[in-house]
Amino acid sequence: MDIDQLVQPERVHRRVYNDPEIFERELEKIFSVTWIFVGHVSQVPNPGNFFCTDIARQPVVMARHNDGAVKVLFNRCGHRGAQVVSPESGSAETFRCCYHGWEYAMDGKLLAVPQPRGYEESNVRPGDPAYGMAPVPRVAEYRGFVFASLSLTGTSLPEFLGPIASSIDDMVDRSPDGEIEVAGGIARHLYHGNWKLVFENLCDGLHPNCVHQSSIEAAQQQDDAVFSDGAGEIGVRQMRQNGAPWEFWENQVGSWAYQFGHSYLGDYHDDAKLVAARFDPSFADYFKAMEAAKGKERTQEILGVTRWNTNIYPTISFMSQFRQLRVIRPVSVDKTEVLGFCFRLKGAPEKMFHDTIRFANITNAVASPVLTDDLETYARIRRGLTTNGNDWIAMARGLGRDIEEADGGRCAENGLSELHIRNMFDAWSGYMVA
Amino acid sequence: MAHQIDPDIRLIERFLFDEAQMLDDRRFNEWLSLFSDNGWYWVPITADQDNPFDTVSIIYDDRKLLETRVRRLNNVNIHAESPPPRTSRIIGNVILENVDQAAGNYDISSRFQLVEFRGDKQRLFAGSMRHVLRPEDVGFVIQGKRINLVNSDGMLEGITTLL
Repeated sequence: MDIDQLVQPERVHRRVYNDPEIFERELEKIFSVTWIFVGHVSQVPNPGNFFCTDIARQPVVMARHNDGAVKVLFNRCGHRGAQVVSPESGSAETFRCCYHGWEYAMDGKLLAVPQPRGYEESNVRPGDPAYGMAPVPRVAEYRGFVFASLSLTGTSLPEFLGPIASSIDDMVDRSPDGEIEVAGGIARHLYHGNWKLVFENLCDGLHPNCVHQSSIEAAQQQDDAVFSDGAGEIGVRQMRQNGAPWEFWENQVGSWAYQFGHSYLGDYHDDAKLVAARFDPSFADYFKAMEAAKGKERTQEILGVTRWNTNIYPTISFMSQFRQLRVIRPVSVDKTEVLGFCFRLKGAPEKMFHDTIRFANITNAVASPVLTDDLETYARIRRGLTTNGNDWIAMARGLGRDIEEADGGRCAENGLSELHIRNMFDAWSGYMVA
Repeated sequence: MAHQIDPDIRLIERFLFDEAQMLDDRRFNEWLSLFSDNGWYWVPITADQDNPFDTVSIIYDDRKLLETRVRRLNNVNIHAESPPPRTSRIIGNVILENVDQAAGNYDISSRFQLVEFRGDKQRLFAGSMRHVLRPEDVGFVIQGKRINLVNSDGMLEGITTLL
């Protein structure tokens, strides 16, 4: 069967979720070509700071060079091929290989070779790029979000992001100082299922009432008078919100989709529902700080954006209102790693960051009463798709009811549409047959 | 109630063993009743995490969230526990670390190993625990419980089992 026959307007073949050959082709045609989120500049604030991650299953390191630039290098020694940088993050004067002690600058340049005698007749010299840590072919940044591409040619980052860049704006603009920083550690989890499932799920307005029934009911039955230091207030509120009635999802929630597979779910929460908003003393302080920095009108405009999850396909999903970002890393056709990051809004009251942490514990922690039911669902999809009884997976909801937007995007009929899934497969097909 | 300055460590051990038995028996409501009205339950991601407010955790529940967590475990529609896991845990190396005279609390450290089986998969959890216990007329109340998993910062799969 050809790749282009795996995707139909309202359904996809199960092989896209469980065929190891398709997965290898995805690594080659999608993850080795397009823009992959590597990290945020605040993870490497000073020269020598580094953060290690993967692109298309290959180890890379993002590092701050002496000249202030953020570099992304393949994490491999130019000598015998060992992975050079081993801790996930930290700070170093130079990168030094554990095997024979070759040393590199943060831009990958080979600085020193111990015991250089014996290389006289060869090309091995400090400074020779052939023996350095190779930089990834392209690195670009949008408002502190660092992306890299393993392909020398292709779409530019601004072109790739298109209108979805406004979701990054939404995240950064909420800082009174105009700056955000990754803080509070990383919440990780692993699931046995295809990487695409998490993107599909995060903008799926139809699933919470069913998947999260246990936590919704448990939260609805919670006595509000019971002691909370803040953790329970944020957590219980979010679990209850997952149980919003169907009419709410149909009438108050929208879904927008863009080129390259990007999408967002919007008008879901408003700030009043999220952080007790104007009634919360820390939010009043935040409001003041915003108005002082940006003026009344601009503050209204910034806080008037009510986007929920934004997916930048195929690596991140994030949301501004609780300042969360998930990085999705494919490991194999049925194994996926997810890293949850939190952002601090510089210039905002610290309590808002504590709320960010509380929210992350409920949505991104591996023992979350919410997330664990999503993970169980992914495991069951993996199991269900092994049957030969039906080759097809539907993504038909809302088909034919999308509205074309002036910016080139599509607006779904409502928040229960599967437009975001169809849109990701439009991009997927484009990459895979290229 | 005047607490004992030099409590009988066997009584404390027995309390921890009974608590472990409740969790293995899935007597979650009974377990919840061991906690004080403002008790907390904490599974940090990093071993040296000094507070649960500025760093993400595997679990940080105040009393309200802990009640909701336990109520969810009792809900028949909890997909992640269908089928429910079975667990068996061993508690050991129980040490009275400190007596907080002012608060009237005992600070207890211990080690645990926990085998969990669900569906077709068996997992081993291990680590250290810290119980802040307040002596009562009969037994103790849990003021706080912290669990440091040895692999807390590793790539873990979903956890519903109470540690």
